[in-house]
Amino acid sequence: MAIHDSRSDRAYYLVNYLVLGIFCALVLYPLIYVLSASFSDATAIANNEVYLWPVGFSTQAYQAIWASPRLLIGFGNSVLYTVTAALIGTTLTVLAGYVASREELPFRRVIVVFFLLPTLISAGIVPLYIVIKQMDLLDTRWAIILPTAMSMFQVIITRTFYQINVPKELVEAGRVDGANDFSMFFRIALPLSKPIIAVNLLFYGLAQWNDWFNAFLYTSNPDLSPLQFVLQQLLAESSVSPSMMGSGDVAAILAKKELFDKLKYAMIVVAMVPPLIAYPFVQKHFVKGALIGAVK
Amino acid sequence: MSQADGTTPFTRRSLLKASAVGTSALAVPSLLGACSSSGSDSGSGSDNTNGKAPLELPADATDGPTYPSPYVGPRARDLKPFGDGSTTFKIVVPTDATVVGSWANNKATAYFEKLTGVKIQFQEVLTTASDGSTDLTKVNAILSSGDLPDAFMGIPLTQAQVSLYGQQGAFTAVDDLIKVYAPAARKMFEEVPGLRALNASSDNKLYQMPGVNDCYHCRSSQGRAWINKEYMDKVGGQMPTTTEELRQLLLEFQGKNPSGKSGFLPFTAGQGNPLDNYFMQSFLYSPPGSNTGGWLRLNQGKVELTARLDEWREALKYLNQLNKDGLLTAQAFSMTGAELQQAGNTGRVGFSRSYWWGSFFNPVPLDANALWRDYVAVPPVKGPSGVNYSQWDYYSYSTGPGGGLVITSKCTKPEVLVQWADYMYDLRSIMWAYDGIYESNWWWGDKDQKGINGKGALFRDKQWPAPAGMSWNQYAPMYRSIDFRGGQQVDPKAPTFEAGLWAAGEAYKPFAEPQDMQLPPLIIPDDSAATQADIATSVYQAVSVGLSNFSLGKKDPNNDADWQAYVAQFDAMKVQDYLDIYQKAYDTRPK
Repeated sequence: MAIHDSRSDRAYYLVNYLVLGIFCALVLYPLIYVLSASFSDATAIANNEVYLWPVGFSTQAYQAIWASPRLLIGFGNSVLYTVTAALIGTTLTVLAGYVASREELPFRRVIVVFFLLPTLISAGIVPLYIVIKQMDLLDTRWAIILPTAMSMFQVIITRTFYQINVPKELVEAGRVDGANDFSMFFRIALPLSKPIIAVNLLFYGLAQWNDWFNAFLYTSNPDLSPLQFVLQQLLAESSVSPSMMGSGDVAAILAKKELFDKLKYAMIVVAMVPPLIAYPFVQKHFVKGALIGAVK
Repeated sequence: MSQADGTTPFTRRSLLKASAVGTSALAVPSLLGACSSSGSDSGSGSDNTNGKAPLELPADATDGPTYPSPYVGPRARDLKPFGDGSTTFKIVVPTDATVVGSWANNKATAYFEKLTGVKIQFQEVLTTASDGSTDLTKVNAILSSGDLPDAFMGIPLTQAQVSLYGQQGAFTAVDDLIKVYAPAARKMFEEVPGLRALNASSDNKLYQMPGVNDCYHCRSSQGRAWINKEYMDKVGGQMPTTTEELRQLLLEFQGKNPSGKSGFLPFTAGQGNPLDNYFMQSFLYSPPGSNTGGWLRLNQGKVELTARLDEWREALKYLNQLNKDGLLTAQAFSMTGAELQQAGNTGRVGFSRSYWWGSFFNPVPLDANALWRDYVAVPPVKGPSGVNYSQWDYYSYSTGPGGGLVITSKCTKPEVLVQWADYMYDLRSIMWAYDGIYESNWWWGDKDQKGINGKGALFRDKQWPAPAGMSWNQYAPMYRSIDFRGGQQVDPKAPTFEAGLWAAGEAYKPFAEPQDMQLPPLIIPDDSAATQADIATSVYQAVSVGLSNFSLGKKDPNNDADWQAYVAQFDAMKVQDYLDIYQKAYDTRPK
């Protein structure tokens, strides 16, 4: 015989589901709207006729995107950069975070402060450009990945994670059993760091996926452009700024406007889908890892 | 600037702002470095002209078009390749995936390489932010790092930047080179007398091969208004000629709702379509303004701010009256472009203060009976004291560096690039650069057909912009004179916008203010640029807030105290310093 929920329990669930349902709708509606708008006729969007479902169903926008070779190249590039940046960033961060967490490291504080310096004082765009140029990295794939390969924010989270999860006692126990520094890291610390590795992979991957600025500043070869930079270009080329109204050709303005209306929503969908697919797989680690690292 | 960047290393805004002001502190030393390292081999460029006789213009091409008469503008001539291909020039150009595509594989690139014999390697740079405004972050990085290309083409540097970098030695002065290597440019300067002065730097040297893009209707487009003539007929009205007639007509619109639709808007304006551009002109000549400057005009050679003159107050009284009539509401200030277009698409707009049909229609279909074709331009109406100006822009024909070529001091053979740019001023080159492949996207005009100016047709094209990968859009140095643009053939069966816009231009031309009232574009020297930018922002705030407050009745333009308080704001923000900066820039401008 089933146990009936008490009245207060039922009320609790009702309110609970109601609140969660409203919250869910709030989050879901923009996504559905963007998706519907991307399949709608441009005129319907201009006249504000799209509310929930596509109006005047059309796949024109996706055809236009598919027909643009730069977008496909960009997509491939983005996947490559995202994977590479996630791996490089995570490796560097885990190494730095672990070392910075070990109290017996000489000059630990000095090293950490040194790490922190660039987040406090940054040289700005022009000196960075000159550095990249003098390292002969301009117009290479490395220029897109390396300048933002490691984030101090991630290193600090990772260091805190190790301070909590690999405490001094554990290290001393390892020492007694004859582990040297390398086996300490590879056989004790690393197997314990799955959550923080997942967090790092996700953060670095996402940051790289969303970034267009490195490509903008350091490359001129369109074949190297990641997807976000291609989208940024399309957006820039299709936007009409008020100043153009004063001097521009109407034909130019019209051409831009048409392109913009056609592409804007489909572009969002294209850029949004891959992280949306990847998110659930990393999410369980993500919440755990970010929280653990953040507590202290 | 280094401090601003220190806190926000990756905001493009901060750099953009710094560059808009003139330069960045960081840029200066490396530019001087660039000067000292290569200044000796190219110098001002005059070394390269020694002993060479000026080149003459070649004869007109026999397979060119029939020119309308009279015609002032570019001509198709017999051009012979002059480059030997020994040097490849590196030119920085804007990224444009949708029209140009890959610059290296572009059809016009191949055409020009064959035409001139000069090899160009293009470096593509994105110069537009995602909101469509100019973003020179990367160009500034290139300039400041000393990693200069041979030239910049179609990069929208400001005249202040060209002037400053030019005098610092980063750019090559081209005056002497033009005297020898650029016969078409010499002809252009002769035919467009003000062009050189508009593009010269404050040291009176020319550091660029400039462009002309003389759009006739654009000269009055900032201050136009449109009215639906069907609705006007329905209420038995006529095209208004005075402010009072306009008001009466709008009241008729309001009373009779000729559209028959609910939500009819007898009177519209909105964000990006400011009221003053049209309505002030019935009381005084007042140029447009923005947060970077404006509302400045010349009065007997003295710069003055129009927004604090008594005539401005009279105009505010009129707008206030429209508000009391219920015609002008807060919507006239707040309406976004999209809202205005939704109203237009459904035929709910009676009168609109806006740039063109596309401001209140989206899309703008080319059907013969499309709704937008009912709207005609309203010529400036006469105010109570008989004033009506059309806010005519005498200087908008000059493209500046955004449609020109800036040669750097790194270029060891600037004379080749000067001659290369000179070939761009040829009629056939202009067509190739902006309209793509001959006999695929454009043709010479048909003999018995008319252009948009009603004279003989010079050329016709299939579509603009040309299909991707065919043209250079509008980035090459160009000489698109008023007669050239007027010679674009009209298909009477499928009229586009151009003929209608030309007609709108014609309707506004008779009311143009005298040229000596318009303050020409000026180069604000670097040391006053920050002050100018600061005060310009304050002026913009005061004028736009004042305009809406007085119009909407939150302040009363008939009340002296309100007006005095408004005017006093300008003294408080040291507007006199601001005017002095402009006065000085005007008095010392290159001539």
